[in-house]
Amino acid sequence: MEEIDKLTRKLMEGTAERPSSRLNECIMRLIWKEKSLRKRIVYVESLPRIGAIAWGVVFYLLLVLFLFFYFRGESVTLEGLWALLRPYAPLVILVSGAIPLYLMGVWIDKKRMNR
Amino acid sequence: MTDEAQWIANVLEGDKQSFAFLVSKYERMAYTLAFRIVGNREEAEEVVQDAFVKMYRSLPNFRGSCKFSSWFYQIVYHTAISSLRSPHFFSDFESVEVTDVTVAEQETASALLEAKDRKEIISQTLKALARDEALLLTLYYLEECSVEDICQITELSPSNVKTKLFRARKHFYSALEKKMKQETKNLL
Repeated sequence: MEEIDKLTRKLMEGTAERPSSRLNECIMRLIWKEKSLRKRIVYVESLPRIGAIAWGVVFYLLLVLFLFFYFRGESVTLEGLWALLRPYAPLVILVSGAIPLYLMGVWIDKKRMNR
Repeated sequence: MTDEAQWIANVLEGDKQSFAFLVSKYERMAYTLAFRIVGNREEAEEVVQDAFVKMYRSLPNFRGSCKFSSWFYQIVYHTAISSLRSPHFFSDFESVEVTDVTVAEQETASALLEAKDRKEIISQTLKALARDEALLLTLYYLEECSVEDICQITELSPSNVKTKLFRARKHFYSALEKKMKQETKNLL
């Protein structure tokens, strides 16, 4: 059996059909028309949702206020809070809002660099 | 990493030029297989073009769990079968008992090894055979695919492949002997 297999292999040697010389060119022309297979990296930033950001800002504001009162040695009441904040409200909101936004920017940059 | 694996990796990275290496390596065998199935040069070339484009598109799905050649030949096989518009390429099992190759047939074939026009005679003999048998002989004896590889390409069972190969080989040797006798007669 092995002998016949060997003989058949020898007989079949070099009997592959020869395509026309332009086949290779035709195939490559079709391939160049195809979209490249490069895996595109799509940045889908996993940004925290708006709700989470808002809660973060609120929490941060409360923390700032709590620390402020704590170090001044006053008890925290709603009236006292309002009286204190009224003149500085825009400034407090701006400062306490800017810091988390800055931190978020750093975090996004870091994520992008890691990719 | 083998050259072939490197070419595949490069193609997946967007380097279409590396695909040219794959084309050069597999073009001829793909064409031979397609020709054995469709039996026509122009159609075989169309099949090969389609098969290469399909292979290019499916390359990201190639996981390397089997040989790349088997995976690609499977694409060629299916593309060629689709172009035939007949789902039954392989003939049904024949109940007629087939004997093994005789000593006389073997001797005739051995004598042919020295012949200058051996390739031409073999090609003509293969064309005269049933297409499914010519395909199996090409895969097993020319491309040296294993039975497992052929099973993967054709989706036949191993026992089916073995039986069909046995019959194909017998028919090949018989046809070869007949052809040689005819040629001798013609010379006289």
